[in-house]
Amino acid sequence: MARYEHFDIRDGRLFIDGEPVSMYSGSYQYWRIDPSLWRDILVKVKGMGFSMIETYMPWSVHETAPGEFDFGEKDAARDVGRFLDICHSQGVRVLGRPGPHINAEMTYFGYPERLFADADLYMRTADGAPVVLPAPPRMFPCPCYHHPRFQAEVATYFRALAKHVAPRLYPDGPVIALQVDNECAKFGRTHPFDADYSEPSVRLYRQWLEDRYGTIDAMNEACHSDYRTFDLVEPPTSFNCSSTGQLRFHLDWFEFGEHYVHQSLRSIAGILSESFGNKVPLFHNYPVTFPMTPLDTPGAESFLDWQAVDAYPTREMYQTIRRGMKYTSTVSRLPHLAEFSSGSVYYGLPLGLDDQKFTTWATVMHGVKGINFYMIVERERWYGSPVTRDGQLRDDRYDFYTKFLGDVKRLGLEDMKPAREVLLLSVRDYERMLAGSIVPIGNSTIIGEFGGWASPDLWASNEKHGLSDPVGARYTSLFNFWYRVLSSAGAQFGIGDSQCGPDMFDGYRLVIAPTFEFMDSALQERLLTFAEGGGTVIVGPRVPELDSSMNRCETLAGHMRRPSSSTIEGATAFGVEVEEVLAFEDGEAGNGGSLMYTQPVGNGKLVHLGLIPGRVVTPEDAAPFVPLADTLIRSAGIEPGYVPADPRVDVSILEGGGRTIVFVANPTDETLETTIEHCPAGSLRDAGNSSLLGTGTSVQVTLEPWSIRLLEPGGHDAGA
Amino acid sequence: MLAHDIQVVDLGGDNWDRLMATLTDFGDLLAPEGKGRTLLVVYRGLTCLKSIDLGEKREVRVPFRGVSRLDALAAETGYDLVIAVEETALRRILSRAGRTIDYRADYFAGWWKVVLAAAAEWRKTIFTWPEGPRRLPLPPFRFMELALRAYVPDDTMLLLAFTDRWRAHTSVALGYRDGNVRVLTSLDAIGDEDADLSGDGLGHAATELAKKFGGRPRAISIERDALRQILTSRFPLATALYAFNSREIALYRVPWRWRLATLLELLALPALRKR
Repeated sequence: MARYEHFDIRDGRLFIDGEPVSMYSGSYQYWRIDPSLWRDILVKVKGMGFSMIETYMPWSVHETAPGEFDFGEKDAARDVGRFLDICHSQGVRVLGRPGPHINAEMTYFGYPERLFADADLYMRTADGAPVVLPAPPRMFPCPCYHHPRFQAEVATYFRALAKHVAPRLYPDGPVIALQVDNECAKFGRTHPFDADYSEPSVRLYRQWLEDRYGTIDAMNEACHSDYRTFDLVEPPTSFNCSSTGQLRFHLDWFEFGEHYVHQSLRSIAGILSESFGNKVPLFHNYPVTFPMTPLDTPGAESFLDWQAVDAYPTREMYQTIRRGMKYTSTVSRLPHLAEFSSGSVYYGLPLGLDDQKFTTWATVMHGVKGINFYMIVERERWYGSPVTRDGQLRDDRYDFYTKFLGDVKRLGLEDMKPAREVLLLSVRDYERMLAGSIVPIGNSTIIGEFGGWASPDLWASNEKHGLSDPVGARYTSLFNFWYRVLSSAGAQFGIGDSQCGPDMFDGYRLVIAPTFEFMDSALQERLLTFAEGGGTVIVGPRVPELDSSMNRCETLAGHMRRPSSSTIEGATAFGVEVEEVLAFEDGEAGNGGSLMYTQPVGNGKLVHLGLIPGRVVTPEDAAPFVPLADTLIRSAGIEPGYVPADPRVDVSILEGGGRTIVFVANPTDETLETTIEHCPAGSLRDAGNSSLLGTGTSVQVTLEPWSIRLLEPGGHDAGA
Repeated sequence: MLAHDIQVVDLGGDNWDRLMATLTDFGDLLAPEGKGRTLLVVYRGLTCLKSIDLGEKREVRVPFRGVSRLDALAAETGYDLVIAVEETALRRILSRAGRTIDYRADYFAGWWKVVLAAAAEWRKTIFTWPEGPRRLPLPPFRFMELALRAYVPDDTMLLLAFTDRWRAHTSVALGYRDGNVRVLTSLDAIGDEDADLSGDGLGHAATELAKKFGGRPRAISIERDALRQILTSRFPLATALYAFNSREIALYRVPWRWRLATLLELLALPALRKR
């Protein structure tokens, strides 16, 4: 994070002049509201308990002709300065989102239409066709952010906007942070062989290769290629390789996708800083709940102050929210939902108030520290917000937000963090293999999440690319397996990212890292160091004998055994059919060995599990493996707490400020009665009304369909 | 068909949710029973890269032997429909469409380019069993534009309401001018999401909307129960006539061409349901 005079981020919170800021806010788009209502509507937003709003500042609205802008001189609805002054006078802080991409359901997503007349600016597919975004009411060609003319156009707009907004940055005005672009993700075309093959993109790729390898000879040696100069390197257009040498060349292209997105953001951040100065933090939001390559939260936070995510879930998408929030709350410096549904876009899935109530609490339950509700004030091309565009209230929605914000403050949830001792690691190398392996009909993981085909393993091809496994497909199956099994075992776990810094394992006792034939050597080193320091690391199914450059690497392999045999066809483990079982001689099992062994290292241990499971997506699929997970968790020295007897029930524990809140969720459409076992405090109370639910280490809880109850251990009075 | 600056306002807090649910419910009544099982195969040459049961949304292992043997694949696996898509098909479709889509053109014209691009891949990179026609001849988009212009009188402000005991359960209002939908709204725009549409109520509501957004008011209201009966009736035309006479269907300034088209649709409904 850059150093600011007034801002700091620590413990997952933003501080201004040493005071923590509530990151709960709502979207309010001034240019779509009658200016005479701006103040009255803001007062109503405040009435719900919000002390911050968010607004876009759209380029296409303020630009009236090339190089000419209107900030209220002609149309009062464009007077962003006056709007910000009203916010300031009301003591309401503002998250500013100047674009250039804003979406906001606007025609052309806030880009001036004239930009699209310049075909040089387009993103291109591998065969040179423009990349088109099919957004209503007009499809448009997506601009390449690396084109110098595009950047110059953005700079012209930002300079004009800054004259009205920069004087209103904190402490002189209400704007406390600026968002760098919006949902910067190659416009959803994230498949590595889809886009972008435009000239500026390929130029950036070649420069990136040169920066990485230094000389063309070094690259040729690593990639088994024979280019004479970097200028002659052509990016791959399909995942067509049959040796590990060629694999490096493809993995570079996948990794470049992350650099492409980062450089897009860096260039916009640079223009923002030049125009507005470096007075307030910069952040960005991904358009998905669980960012995967080419999206990279830890990488983005190396040059932005925080990297947020967006979510528009129905309650049936509970697992999508859960997984995404577990990831963001583990990985991000400031776990923030920059856009979370409040009402709906007219062409999208209807989200009712029942969805809203359940999903909002679900995000908090899994560790999010702030939510911007999009939209808190209704406007054109949107419906179902608590305040309408003429200042009327939708009472049921208004009351929900008022109560929600009151509960968050009353219970001190903003000061709390998830209590987790288990970390499931998302491994970037394998994620890149997955991205490249997805058959192009599936196109991208983003479309997968939006389309409800959330599990990318469905689309990953079974090609092996010179390795022993179809790593992409098996990695995602294995990741899903652990996610589901840990969930059914009632484990409190976070989802980490191998891109995080060296302290990523701090505070955990057990780390689960899927491993295949190759793995980044630095990551191997970190896992080993964690184990030697007293932690437990579960690896497998394969021994990583290569690093990510496909060179021999003994870091983990030096401590692990090769399997003595492998069963593929008709393999079973724990009584169910699996993809493959690897058996290791352990001196105990007489008939071919065991599929698991423990290897002590330093003060801790490596556990090698030679199991390639089948598709595990439901609690029923996971049930046979729950005893295994329970044993592994206990052997890592973790005593499970607050475990629901019914695997359909989910529990999450937040701790902080001397308080513990146990969230118990019923993500089903039926009433569930379950016992919460292993309650260490000996009793549980309802955090809402302080009524005692039960005493002892097992407490009975009744859960209405699609509900989340907040419970508090012990006799502490939560105060109704 | 969609105006460049289409105005979408006041869809109502819960009104739009109810509209989507209503359309889904009635759509389900029309859906043919006993949907067949569909298999999607993504292939390269003779290699199956992925095979997915689209109904179950899960991978299945199938004996793929190339697109010329989809009949055998269907027979062996029991799928009613097999769709085989070459791995580059989507890329080819998007590229072909991307070259021809004009950012100034109508939104549906853009999608029509995608459909044309997909049709061009038919039997080149997209195959099915049963086979279907050799070619997919598609008319130019202009034909559909002309049909819409012929069907909808210019400068129409149409209110469509689904009612329960003549009170609006959900509504949608469309403003149409010069071949484009220019306004999308609902009764919420006149502050009466659950308006009483009995008697003169329907005409009054449509007129109020027209005053606010311009255009000539027209309106249709249908009792939800009546619509359900029509869609499930063995004699939909007779059921509709009964509903019309009992004011369960009410019309306000509805042109004769719409009435005629509705009549033809009602006559065709029993045949459609038997698909």
